[in-house]
Amino acid sequence: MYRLTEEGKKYLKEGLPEKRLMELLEDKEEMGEVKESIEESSIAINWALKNGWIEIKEGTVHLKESPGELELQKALESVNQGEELEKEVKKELEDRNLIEEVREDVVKQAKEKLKEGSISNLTPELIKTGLWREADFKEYDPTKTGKKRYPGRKHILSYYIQDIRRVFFDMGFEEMKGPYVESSFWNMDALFIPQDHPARDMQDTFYMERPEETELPEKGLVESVKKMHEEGSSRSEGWNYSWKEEMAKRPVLRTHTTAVSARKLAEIDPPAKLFSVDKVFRNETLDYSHLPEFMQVEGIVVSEEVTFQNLLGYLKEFYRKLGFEKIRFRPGYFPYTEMSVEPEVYFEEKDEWLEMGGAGIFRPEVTRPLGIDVPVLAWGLGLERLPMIKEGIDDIRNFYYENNLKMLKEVKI
Amino acid sequence: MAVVGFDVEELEELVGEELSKDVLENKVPMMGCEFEGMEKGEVEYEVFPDRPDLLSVEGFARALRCFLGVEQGLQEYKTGESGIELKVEDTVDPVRPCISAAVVRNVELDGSVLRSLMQVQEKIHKTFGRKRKKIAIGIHDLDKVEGPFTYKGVEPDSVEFVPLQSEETMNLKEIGEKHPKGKYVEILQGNEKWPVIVDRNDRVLSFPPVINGQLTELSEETENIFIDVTGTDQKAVEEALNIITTSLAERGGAIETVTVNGKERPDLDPGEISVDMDYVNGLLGLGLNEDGFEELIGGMGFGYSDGKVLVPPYRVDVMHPMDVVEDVAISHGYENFKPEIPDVPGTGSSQGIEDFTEKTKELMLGFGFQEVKTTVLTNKERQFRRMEAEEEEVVKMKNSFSEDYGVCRRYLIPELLEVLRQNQHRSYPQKIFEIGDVLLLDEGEETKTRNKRKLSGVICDDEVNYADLASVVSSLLELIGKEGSFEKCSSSSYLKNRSSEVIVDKERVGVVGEVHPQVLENWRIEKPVVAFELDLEGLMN
Repeated sequence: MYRLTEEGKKYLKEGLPEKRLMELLEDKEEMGEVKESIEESSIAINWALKNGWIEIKEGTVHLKESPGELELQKALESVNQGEELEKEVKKELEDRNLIEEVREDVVKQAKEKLKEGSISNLTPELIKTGLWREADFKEYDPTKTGKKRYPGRKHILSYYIQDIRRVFFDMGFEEMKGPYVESSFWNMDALFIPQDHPARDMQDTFYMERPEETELPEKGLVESVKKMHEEGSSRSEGWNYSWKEEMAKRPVLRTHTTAVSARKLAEIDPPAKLFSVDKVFRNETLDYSHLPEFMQVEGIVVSEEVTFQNLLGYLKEFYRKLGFEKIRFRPGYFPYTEMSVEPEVYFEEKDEWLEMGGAGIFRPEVTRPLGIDVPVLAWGLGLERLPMIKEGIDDIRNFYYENNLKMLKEVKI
Repeated sequence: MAVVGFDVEELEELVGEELSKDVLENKVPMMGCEFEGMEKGEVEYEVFPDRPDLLSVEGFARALRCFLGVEQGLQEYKTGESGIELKVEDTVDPVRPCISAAVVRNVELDGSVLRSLMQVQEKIHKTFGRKRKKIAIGIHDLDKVEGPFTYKGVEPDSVEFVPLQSEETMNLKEIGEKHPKGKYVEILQGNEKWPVIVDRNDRVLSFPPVINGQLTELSEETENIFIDVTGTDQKAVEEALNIITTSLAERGGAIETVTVNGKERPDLDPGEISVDMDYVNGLLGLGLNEDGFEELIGGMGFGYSDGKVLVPPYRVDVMHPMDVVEDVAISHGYENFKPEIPDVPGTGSSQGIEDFTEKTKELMLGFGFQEVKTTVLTNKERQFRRMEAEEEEVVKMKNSFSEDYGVCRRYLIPELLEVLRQNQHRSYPQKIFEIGDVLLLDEGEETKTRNKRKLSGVICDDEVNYADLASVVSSLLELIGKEGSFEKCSSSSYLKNRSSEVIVDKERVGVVGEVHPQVLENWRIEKPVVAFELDLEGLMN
């Protein structure tokens, strides 16, 4: 069995080149610029000359004899219809690479498929042999869409993390990172939290058995922090107690990513815009809304020029980009910020204002020992709160601790 | 943080103005506290830890009077001298060295005043007083005893008296053992002598920070009050005394000083702090002049004189000009600031490891795996014993709320098996992965530990074999651009001859294998599992 090649199919549709040439000459009898008039002009001229239909005089093509209907063109039609051909015509078409033989086993398979009667699946063999023309295709109910399918999915929190990182990148913030295990120095002392502060109480903070002790950063920095706690500065009274290095060396699982911000502040020169989205730990029994480890989002802006109004500006823009159009600000309290703010956003779905994180300007007692003499705006929020409210998740353990695969697969984007 | 409840009528009386529900719910929190709810004529607020002066209804009302504009500016407190002396012996130095005292006369101690006094005392003990360790307050009926008073250290079994909430005479040691407040002797443990305050006839007023004597118990008949504050930090002791005495002054009490260590206490003169206008305006962007500034801080109870801010004696939170600036902002009203974004230069940029994590995650999703997130906190049972693996050194907590979460994970595979265990009643196949940090001990680091980013994946189904997952790992490595080789290894976590170490650039970067049925049995997982874990950080370069 034979079928048309790509070229064969083309000539079936457009006509063989020599056929197209002869049709043009019928009207004109002679032509100077064959090349411009038809595609594949050299093939056309070649075959027309060979068949004695034309002659060329002084670069011009003259009609010698009209061939009438072309047998070869008819043969292409026949192949297309699956009809058998004369041996000579077959050879000529094969020589010109216009038809090719279909392998016998393919034909056999296609024919067997046809014998099955009404066909459910179209096969490559039916297409290759063209025998699909004779097939009777089974009718489907195209309104039925088959069983549910789930692709490999990101964890729901990954979607939120991705969104928040994008917001920070849009706003021109650079990402920062720090270790999970921190010294009390970076987690607390560097933030001017006094060593007898209740925030250091055992119940909130995971203290470590291994490692037993951390190192401290370079001595100059440690001395500055110590001095600020003990004596304050020319403008601050300080905490007036005896600061102990051993307490600063106690390792903890960091309770906030502000520890990362503190590390970074000690490294950089202003201006800077920095953020992190990372894990923090609290020594709290887990229940439907409390996790002993969760993700914290934190942004800081370090610049000579920034004001309290700018802090509110960043908060407004940040939450707007997360999809909260309405925001309001309440006074708050954090041990290491002054002007402390609790932003509240309005949830349309709930018709309710909800507290969404905290913000403030770092106290100078925090920033000065770290070598920063300009205001540092800072804000943060717990990430899990967003999906909990937005997706109406009432028990966070489903997602984090149990990893309910059914729920994770079915999360809507 | 402390939640305090006030009787609304009482609050209104002290403020001198009616307080609507809207004011209580929406306006008052703008002063710097949180509205917690209102029920049966009582309103609750959460008071921030830096404002113990707001813990009493009198102090709260005083702040509201300024904030709501009823009466603004610095309130001055006059003190007379009581002529009473409090002697301090050095025997208290090792145990509880600091003390101060005051007398308040002509107080009408009706039920609500008493209640308020008890509330503020209790809340200060708990918060500002660090559970009585740093500060403890004793309030006494002055007319039951006679000055001068003496603060001294005594042998615990050498002094006895009838404590409050008891009928029995007990010595200090017995109080520690038998009395409901006896738990506070813990603060004194390790000291040979414990502190008491006695009058001129050696009658015991107080055994700080544990319990007062019944002798000086307050009643509605009490007219004159003696207050002692003891502790470990003289500044905090004086501050607590200021808060209590100025609260009582709000009730019409006349404050008189007591001579303590040769000084007249309390000292209720306002403190002074210099605050530069440029500093205020630089931080707030309000463009205030001195008059505007004075008016705003007047709304928070501060005075202003000769370029100095006068700080009322009960405000213990002002240690830096920044603290005054915050009060200016609160007085102006957070709602009245115009949020503006400045032009601070910066280019959004990410941490390399996060980008690499995202790209690798995409490949895993493409291979049809569901991402899960497990906790860093775990236990050794999971990490090693159920895996039939030898125990290794791990980062370990000292005080975890639960034994189940006592260490930090070193491997991800066990945590993924835990996810499989919990999802056995859900549909299969289960193909899950996680990219996350594990923690390693590392002497070379400042924190003696190191985070390490890892990738792990598992497949669990009725039928699953090694090649189902090894092919994923090998393809993944190729797509990351690494040439990986697989070297047969033996591990009791995997079936014999069915696990490999993954080697890249001659380094061992991970493992892939068919989980041993013993391990599955340990987890009670009833279908075969193949698992891999790779060191992602090592593959990034």
